Amino acid sequence: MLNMIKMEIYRMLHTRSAYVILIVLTGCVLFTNIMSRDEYRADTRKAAEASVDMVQVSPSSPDESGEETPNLGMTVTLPTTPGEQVTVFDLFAANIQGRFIALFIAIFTILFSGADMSSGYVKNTAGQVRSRAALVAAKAVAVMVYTVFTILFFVAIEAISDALLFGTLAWGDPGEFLPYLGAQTALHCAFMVVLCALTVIIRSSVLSMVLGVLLCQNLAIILYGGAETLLRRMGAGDVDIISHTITGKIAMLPLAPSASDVTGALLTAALFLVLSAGLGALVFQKRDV
Amino acid sequence: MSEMLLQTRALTKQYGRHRAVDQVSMHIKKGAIYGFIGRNGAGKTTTLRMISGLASPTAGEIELFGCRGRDLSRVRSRVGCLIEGPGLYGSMSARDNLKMKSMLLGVYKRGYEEELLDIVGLGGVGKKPVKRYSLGMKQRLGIALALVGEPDLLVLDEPINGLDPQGIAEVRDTVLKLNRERNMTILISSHILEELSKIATDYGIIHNGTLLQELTNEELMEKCSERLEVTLDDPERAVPVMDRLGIKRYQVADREHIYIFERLEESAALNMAFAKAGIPVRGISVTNGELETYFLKLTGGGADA
Repeated sequence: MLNMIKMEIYRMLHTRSAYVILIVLTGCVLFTNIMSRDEYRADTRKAAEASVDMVQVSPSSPDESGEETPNLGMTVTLPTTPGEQVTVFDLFAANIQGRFIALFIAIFTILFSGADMSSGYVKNTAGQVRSRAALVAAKAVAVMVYTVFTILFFVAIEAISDALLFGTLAWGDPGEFLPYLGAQTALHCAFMVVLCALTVIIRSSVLSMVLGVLLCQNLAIILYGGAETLLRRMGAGDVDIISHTITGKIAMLPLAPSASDVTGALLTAALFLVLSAGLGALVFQKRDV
Repeated sequence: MSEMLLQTRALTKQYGRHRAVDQVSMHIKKGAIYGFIGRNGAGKTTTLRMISGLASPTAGEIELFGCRGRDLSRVRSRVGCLIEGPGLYGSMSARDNLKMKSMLLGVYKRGYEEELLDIVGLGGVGKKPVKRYSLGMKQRLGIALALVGEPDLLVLDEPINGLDPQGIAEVRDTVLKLNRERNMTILISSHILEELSKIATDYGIIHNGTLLQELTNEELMEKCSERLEVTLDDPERAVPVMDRLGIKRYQVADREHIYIFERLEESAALNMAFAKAGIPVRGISVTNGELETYFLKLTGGGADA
């Protein structure tokens, strides 16, 4: 198993798309940060003019209670109250809640997970290992390593952005930032393992890419809406499916997460991770290569 | 009897209603180069995929290195394969492609990848991405990948497909070298029979998913080599005559035919000797039994082999 993980990490380090995505991600994050700074400054000016205590920055912005108005597409909105110091945590949360980072990692995950099958390299490996299922597990580990690295890289970009665009490097409250960072990292890892398993199962990078992007773009709410209506008609009462999904948790995790919020996020991540990796491994083990 | 390295028993693979491989029982001796002959769609690749662990049989059994059933997973790493063309990461170098498989099999030896590249004649390719390689180079890199971990059995599916004459010769030399220098057992499929006949020690002929025949190179050459085909009424009576003439390589094929594999230019003298002994000869001719002819006769004609 360790050998398989080493192989997959070696492959990851020698995959050009891994670096291309980091470069594009850097550009896009800097762009959204600049846009957010301009918006923030405009809001601060407006707030000063209107002399109000607090201005709602955007109607689609999640509030502290974690409620979100589901909308299609992605939004990146700073949660900072106008006039207050914008922190690294604020910048991090703004981009991560919009599933902006998830989208980039998802693209890499799908390309990476399908590459051995599309190139045919899997024929060199699948026959010579004791358990083919372990190959999927190794791939999932490599994807998680990339996810963790990208999130840390992203934190670094946000720190630089904060210092350059907002004048001061302020990290935010570590008591809130660190649990939030940890929970989001776990959710992102789980999401990527789901996509990795999906790519292995459906054997189509194109279809997986479409599904991955749609999930990041919140388009699954149409599906969830239909399922909720069906469940209501069946007498299951009001069920809020999106709040139990990984992408839902990524978007709605409160900025000051309580212990139960973090636990809920970790449990959701663990459940999706284990189920999807297990299913992907089972399918790959049984199926002809 | 030589030690059997691979045996299959009634190996079967069914896809829906189509039976791609039907009760194939093949036997490969240790150190052999087993030529697996069949037309396109005969079931060669499916059989090789099952042997290589890439597909599971619908029925039947594979015995590899004396292991079968669940124990097979213990010896899978001893089988290297190149199935349906080389599977390579095009944007990576040959060395990186090899390095990954070395890591998978736990081979950490300095210069190991370069050594493999030298074996297949790709030494000095540098860091050029594999996608810029010619088909022959890719094919040879595919063989190098199959050699990682020094397998005892090498399974090559149509390795000379699409290669130019020089590429074919290079692959042939590589296969022979591996067999002779490393005592590697090689299972190689092809529909280019003449090429296969230059290296194989044993053959299996598959047609419509069924293994029609297994035979050694000597047996096949005997069936296919140039010979005098004598047609006469009583072959038994002709035997003492041939013995008197010092003819040693002959075969009484049936009640009307004798095949003689030597002194092909002496057909007139032979005819006269039979006549002197009072044995009427109805016909005598030199027959050139080509491998293709034999194969076509066995599989019922057609031109795709």
